[in-house]
This record gives sequence, structure tokens and C-alpha cells, in this order.
Amino acid sequence: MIEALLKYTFLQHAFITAILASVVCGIIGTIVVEKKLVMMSGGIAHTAFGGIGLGYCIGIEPIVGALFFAGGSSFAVAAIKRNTNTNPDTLIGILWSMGMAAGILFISLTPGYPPDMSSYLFGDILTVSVFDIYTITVLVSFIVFIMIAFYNYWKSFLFDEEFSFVIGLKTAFMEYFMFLLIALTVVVLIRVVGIILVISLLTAPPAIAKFFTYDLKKMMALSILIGMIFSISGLWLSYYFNIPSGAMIILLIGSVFFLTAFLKRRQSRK
Amino acid sequence: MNREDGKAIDVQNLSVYFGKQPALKDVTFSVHKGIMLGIIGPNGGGKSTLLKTILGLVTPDKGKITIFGKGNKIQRERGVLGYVPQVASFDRLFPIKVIDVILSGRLNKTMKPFKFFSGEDKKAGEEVLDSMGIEALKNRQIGQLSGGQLQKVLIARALIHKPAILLLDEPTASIDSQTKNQIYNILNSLVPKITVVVVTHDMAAVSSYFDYIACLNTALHYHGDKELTQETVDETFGCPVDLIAHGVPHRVYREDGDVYHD
Repeated sequence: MIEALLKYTFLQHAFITAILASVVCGIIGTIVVEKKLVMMSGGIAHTAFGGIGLGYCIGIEPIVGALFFAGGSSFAVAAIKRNTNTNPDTLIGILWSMGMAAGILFISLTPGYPPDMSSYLFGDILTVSVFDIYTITVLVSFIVFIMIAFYNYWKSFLFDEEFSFVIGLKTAFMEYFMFLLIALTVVVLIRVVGIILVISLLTAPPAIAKFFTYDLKKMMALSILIGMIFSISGLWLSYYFNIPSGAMIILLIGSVFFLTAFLKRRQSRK
Repeated sequence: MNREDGKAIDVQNLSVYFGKQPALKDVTFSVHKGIMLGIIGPNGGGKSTLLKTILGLVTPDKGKITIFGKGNKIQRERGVLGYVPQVASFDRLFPIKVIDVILSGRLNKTMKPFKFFSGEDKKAGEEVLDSMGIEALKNRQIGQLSGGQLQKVLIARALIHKPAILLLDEPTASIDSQTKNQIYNILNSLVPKITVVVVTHDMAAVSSYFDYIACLNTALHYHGDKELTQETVDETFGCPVDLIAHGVPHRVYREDGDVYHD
């Protein structure tokens, strides 16, 4: 494997992408899991598909379209949640399906042969370009900076939004910003494992980390590490057995979660 | 002393509706600086809503609230308000330790990048942990605390912020009576330096610890000193509540004959 890694740039790109993706999903995934925003993240991911379709249709980079749709829908959920009584869970369900439908509509309107959407649905880490890596690096650096620089404010906001509001923190802004970061992360991860499987990378590493720590920043750090270990292992296994890489990573991390859960239960029973 | 200056909280004709249902209807009263006020009333009577409206967490449909004569947004940004929410509202599984909860009270509206807690912040944390008697719990995750312990942590967090007005929502719900007394004694010691408003079900505490009470059941039925009559309580609760058994009330010395009734 190591020789292959040294020889093939596509494998190098895949590895770098896996590491970058692990960093961002360790941080954002921890927030998503703790604030119970998994449904929301899934919704954003599927709504992004509408943006991808639009991108193809009007001839812009699909990821840019995805970014607009993902950002727009996350703001819509935040705004509607704050201003009406509609349950965000319901709202997300509606946006989720409309997003996918819009994507399919736009693609059907695109002249010529329809593009292969499976790389967006299922991800294709082995065809990541240098441009993609630059984009992902910028986004990941931005998210890491924001998290570290304002860590204590985020922690207070995530734990108790009301108290944070009362002492003067700008919680409405933070909520919108948090949703924006989730949308950005989802769009970044689309390239790696695809829309359908984004959820697993955001949820399984933090869920596993939670068995081992009670500290928010340790949970983020551990999630990053777990993400890295298993996405690289997944890549390696998929290379050896010639199976789709995205799917391999997800099955691996998911299985590890259930194994850990099972072992932890047995341990607490002794 | 001009009465206007003395008003920590002034509520005028406050109405809050959830859909068509009124949570609060035309509530008017004021809270003077440096006193301890108890707000009592039945469940669903709007007590928490009143607190949240004062804090700005709920926007009123009608009416106005001022805090030391200014709007609550300005006062929030100046760090004037302190809040102790109900213990039941927390996700106990959240990965945060007692000391982290408390230190978050040291944050304020100026969101500086790379704000890490200084030695001074940590010292303040130690002091407030000591004053609440919970130094031993410093590094525990909040899920590892009892209800009473978490209550003290939340109070510590509010206190470290050094608010001028402290609002507490049922701080003694599901707590044993010894801890209750501890908590009320701590709150009493804060007054008159700060103003304390407590929403409570605890009728027994009403007689011993509070200066004034407000009886709230969507509308305000009584706001004054502790001379509660059986009539007022019945009216507030909508059904007879046994006052005598809880040892309420006894006469209170009226300072200047001011009348707070509406």
C-alpha cells in the first residue's frame, strides 16, 4: 500500500482529503451530535443536491451551487424556527425532499446527456482534484480557526443558549453561524463520501468518542483521530479488496461504533 | 430617595400570548432595588414566562419592561442580569464540567477571539465554588451531579457574573429541605447589594426568606409585602391552598408606607 501511495497521486489526494475531512467532521460532528442536529445535517445534505443540479444546468461549478443551496436552506431552517411555530424537524423533511427533487428537475432540464450524479450521491474520494483539495483546505482552516478562537463562547452557547443570551452573547448570530458551518461542512464532505453517506462521518466518530470522554474539546480531538484512523483504514481496505471507498469507510466506522457500544455495555455490567 | 431610581424592574401592562392563549395578561408591577421578591402561583400560571420576558428571552405582545429605567437589551449587554434556569431543562449528558459551567459566567458581550480564562477568572471560580460549598465537585461532569448540586452550580455561574439583578426559576424544585435552606440563606445574603427575584412553589420559604411576593396566575393577583391572606391565595391558585399549614404569613414592618398594590 505504501508504495502505491508514494507512486499514485490520486491515492495521495485521497489520503489528504480523508485527513482534512476527519478534522472538520470531528469538530462539526461533535456539535451536530450534541445539539441533536443530525436530521438537520441530513436535510442540508439532500437539499444541496438541488444546488448541484442547478450548477450543472446553468454551467457553474456544481459545488458552488451546492454551497448556495446548503447555506440557503440552513438559514431558512434557522429563520423559520426562530419566527414561527413550525417544528424544525418537519421543516427539514420538507426541504430534504424538495432539494432532491429540484436537483433531479434541473438535471432533466440540462441539455445533452445527464451527468453522472453517483459521485455526488455516493462520493468518490479517488477522483478528488487539486482544486478540490485547496477548497477543502480553506474551508477546514476557516472552521478550525473559528472553533479555536471562540471556543469558550461556543461552549457556553452549545450548553445553555438562554443563559448565554442573558449575559449578552450574540446567540442569534451564533446560531445562524453554526448552521452555516454545518452547511459548509456538508458541502465539503459531499466530495468525499457523497450526500447519502455524509451523516455517518458526522455522527459515528463523535458517537464513539463520547464513550471515552466527558470533555467537549477532548471529544472533538478524539473524533478527529477516530475519523482519521477509520477513513484511512477504509481507504486501504477498499484499495485491497477493490470495493467502493466511500461505502467501505462508512461500513467500517459504523461497525466500530456498534462494537464499542456493545463492549462498553458489557463492561458496565460486570 | 426618588422612587423612580429605586426601580430595578418595572413592568407595565405586560401581555404575552402563545397563539390565542394568554400566558400573561396585563401584568403591571415594579421591583425595587435591593429586595428579594418571590413570585408564586399555580403551574402554567405564567411565572416562568414572566421571568423570561423580563430577561428578553420572550418578546411581549403588549406592554413594556424596563430595567433600571432602560430597555432589557442594553442592560443585558452591560451584564446587569443574572439567570438561574430550571435544573430540569438541561441535557445532563452534555460534555461539560462544573468548573467550565461556572467560568462561562465570566463571558460577556464582547466576543474576543482567543478568549481563554485567565488566572483572575479561575480565582473567581474558586471563590464562588467555595461560597456555594461545592469545591469538591469542580471537575465533575454535570451528569454526575444530583439535582441539588447542579442547582448550586447554576447559581454559582450566575453569581460569578456579578449581576445587579438575579432571577431564579424554581431554584428549589426537587431539593431536600436542608439544601433548600442553604440556598435561600445564600440568596438572602446577596440582598440588598443585588436584587433577587425567585419564581417558586415553595410556600414555606415565602414567610421566612422573602421581602415581597407577587401572586401570578396569568394575571397578577397580589403584589405586596408578605401579608398574604387566605383569600388572595385562593384567588391566585383558583382553589383553596392551605396557607396555615405552611406557616405563612406574619406581619412585616412596612418601611415607608409605600403601597405596591395594583
